[in-house]
Amino acid sequence: MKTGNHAALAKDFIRDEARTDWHDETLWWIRQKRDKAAHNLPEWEQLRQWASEIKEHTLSNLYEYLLEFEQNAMANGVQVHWAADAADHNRIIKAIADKHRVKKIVKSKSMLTEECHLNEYLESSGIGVIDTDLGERIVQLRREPPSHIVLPAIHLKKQDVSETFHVHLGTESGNNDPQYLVASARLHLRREFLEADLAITGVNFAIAETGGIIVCTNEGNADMGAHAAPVHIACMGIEKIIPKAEHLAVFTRLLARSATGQAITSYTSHFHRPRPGREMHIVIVDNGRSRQLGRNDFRNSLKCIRCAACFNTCPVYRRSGGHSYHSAVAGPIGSILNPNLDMKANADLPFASTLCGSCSNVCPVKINIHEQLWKWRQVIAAEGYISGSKKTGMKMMGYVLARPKIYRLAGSVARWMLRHFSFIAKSKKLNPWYKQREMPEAPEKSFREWYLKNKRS
Amino acid sequence: MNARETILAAIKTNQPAPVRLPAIDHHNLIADSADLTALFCQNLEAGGGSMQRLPDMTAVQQLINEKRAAGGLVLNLISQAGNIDLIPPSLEILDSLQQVFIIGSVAVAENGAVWVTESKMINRILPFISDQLYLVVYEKQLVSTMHDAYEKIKTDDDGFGVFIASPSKTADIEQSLVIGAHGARKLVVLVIAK
Repeated sequence: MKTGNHAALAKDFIRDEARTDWHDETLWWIRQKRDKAAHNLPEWEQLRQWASEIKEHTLSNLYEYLLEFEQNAMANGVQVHWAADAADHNRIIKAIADKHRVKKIVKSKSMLTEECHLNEYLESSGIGVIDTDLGERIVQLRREPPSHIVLPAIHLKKQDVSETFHVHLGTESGNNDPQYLVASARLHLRREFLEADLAITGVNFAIAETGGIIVCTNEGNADMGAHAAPVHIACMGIEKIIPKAEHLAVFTRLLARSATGQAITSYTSHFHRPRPGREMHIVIVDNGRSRQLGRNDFRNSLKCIRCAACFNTCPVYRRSGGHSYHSAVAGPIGSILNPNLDMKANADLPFASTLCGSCSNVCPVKINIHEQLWKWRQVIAAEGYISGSKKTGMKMMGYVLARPKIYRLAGSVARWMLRHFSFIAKSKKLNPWYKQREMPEAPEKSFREWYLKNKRS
Repeated sequence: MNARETILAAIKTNQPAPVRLPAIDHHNLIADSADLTALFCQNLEAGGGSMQRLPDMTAVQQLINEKRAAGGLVLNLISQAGNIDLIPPSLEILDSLQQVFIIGSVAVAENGAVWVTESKMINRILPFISDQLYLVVYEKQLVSTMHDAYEKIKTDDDGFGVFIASPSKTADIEQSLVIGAHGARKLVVLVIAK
């Protein structure tokens, strides 16, 4: 995982202007597909309302629902484990792997295991982990983290994938045909599926009423892994619970439409019991979520179903790339989840936003993302985790804005300076705002001066 | 305290006052489509699958026989369409499976998805490991939306059940849609008139 703050990492990303534009346009195209799918359903807003209310209800009864889920899952013959934090989660998985003398694991997409840095942990103890989602496999071979929770390799072009596959899978050099590259990955990963001793999957939804878990994929990689290997471990955060199977109708209708504009994922798999003679485990992970549940202003972030609609619409994400967020979950939702995990390390993220509110407008479970970003800024400032220059700047601005006479004077001085000494405003050192931007022409007078002169006529 | 007790105690302390659960009254909201089969076909094709109408199970049996004549490994798991084939126990053999025929119990017009359960697929990996997947549904099993589908099925009747809406696909390489990622490279839904 990269370190550093969002602004510095984004600066690296946007150095290649053509690629930045391409990244921006690609994600916007996905946002447009989402719009088309949403507008196709007259009941879309009612679905969002239901989804939001179901999640709010569940969070307010989470204790009861988790117990109900555990009881039903155990009655189904599933072994249930509880992990207080990332270290607990990783130890539980290692213990299951050791019990079965596992050498090779296939893993389908699970942002939770990314959050817990499971791969590094297992690899350091000699157990190989193969990510099987194609995008995740690509970034794994490149030793990079995913840059997007639904489209892990969205920052890469086909030439990059071709080079990576040429080096690691021995594909033809310079063959950039996606059809050819996918076929090569299919052959490579088919072997891994057939040889794996253990399969790990994430969980999209867990039903309290039945003790079952639901996994959604387009590639079928979760199913290939879980049905081929003798042992299946599913890892879930405590917030994945929904009360009843009928609620899946609401969420499956929203999830893929919000994510990619599809009506539903290719596969929506419902796991309730292990196959005869096989083992199934579920690891329920807290890792800070119960703390977030107690924060009135930020509790709603736990409603998230990880569709990434907020990523695709965000003008800052689209033009800064997922790696700039230095976290497993990037984008606007990551920027309100990560400060809960580590406020100091993620103090920059709530500032990586224009607060335009587009994220909240597309969110299928109606999380007030932009309001939470704004609230985190205040918490982070109160805790003293913002830089000195930002603090001083904000203080000065607050002082000036509270004093109309000084504000007017400052405005006229600034206009005069911009007209006569514009090089100062155009110094990127003195004025970071000028980076990647043009300064406007300074008007002769302020709006107030114009208004006072013209209001009688 | 162990992790379970610690987590549950923290949740109990931190969870807010109870919020009511909404009633999902979809019948008043969503009008049934006039032609479910046409809508199903359109959405299945949009996802990369295809639909074929057949008059009865005898026609399905004929289709299976045609596929067998081509020589590859073909498995029929539908009792109404002939004898159920024995499933080879080894994954290595199943890796060469050309076609598998499985019966579904509900088909959803709004997204082209078909509900298939473990008792009908017998081995859970078959719909995924097969090169081509043929799902059979009766036309009268078509429903309008996912709400209707979840009303018809009981998700935990079987140990495993899945909605399949398209062949395996990916757009992970520069957003180019490619059919045939890890699972079946072709999905055909055979809709039986009676």
